[in-house]
Amino acid sequence: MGDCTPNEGGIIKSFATKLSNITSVTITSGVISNFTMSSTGLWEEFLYDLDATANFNQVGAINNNRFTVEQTAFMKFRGITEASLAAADAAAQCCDTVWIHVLSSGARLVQGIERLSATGAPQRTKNSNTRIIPTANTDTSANEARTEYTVQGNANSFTNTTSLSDSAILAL
Amino acid sequence: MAELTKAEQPVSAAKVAYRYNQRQKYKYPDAVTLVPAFDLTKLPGPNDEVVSVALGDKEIRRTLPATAERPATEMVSKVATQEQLKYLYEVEKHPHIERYIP
Repeated sequence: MGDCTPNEGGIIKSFATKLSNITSVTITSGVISNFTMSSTGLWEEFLYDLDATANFNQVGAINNNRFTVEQTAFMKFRGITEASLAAADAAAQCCDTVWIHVLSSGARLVQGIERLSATGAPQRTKNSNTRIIPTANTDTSANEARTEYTVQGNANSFTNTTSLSDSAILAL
Repeated sequence: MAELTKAEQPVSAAKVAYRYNQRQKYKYPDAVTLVPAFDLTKLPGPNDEVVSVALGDKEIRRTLPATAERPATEMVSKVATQEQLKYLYEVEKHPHIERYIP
């Protein structure tokens, strides 16, 4: 008999930092259980529109026996302001970013580093940097003006998960 | 018979201490990490409370900005105690913490 328990999709919030801010990652039974940061307050919390558009997609591909994973997150923030444009401009400058995406189910996926099997320094996504690609779209009068972030990178593996709660991440 | 040098002496549990790796301290003097708030003998579970500790020599304070969900909060990362450093070394196998004989 099948399992009919609903499994909601989508991401509801994310935390982000620069890869260079992380000095070590602790792995416990394959799960990220701790980060050591170069200083405190380096994880930024991203609260985007909860309109069923935010998502994080990992698409595997194979080419001549070479396996890669394209990792793409999408998030949308209503409105375009001087502050949002300045933030978008700054975000686009950052080459290697690390994201913790919180799913509706409570699971947390860590985008931006290669999958780790043991405690140590994190490695950036090997095949292409995980970068923020911002878009500022006024759209038409029938729709809403918005700022959108696409976070994209290409790795050799799927992401790790983390057991850290929101309060633990913000305590770092 | 010649006396054992310090490096050759057996490590006594009472004598050892733990510290943040000096090279890392030079590079990242304000580094922080998480340790369990209560039980330092095992890794924390998903629902166990954790606290942030500073691995360097000084306590670090900052203000977490207010959001719709919470007020502005002062966050304090106290300097890690020997017990907390021991946890990081022995339990978490943290690569930047080392054991030494003072």
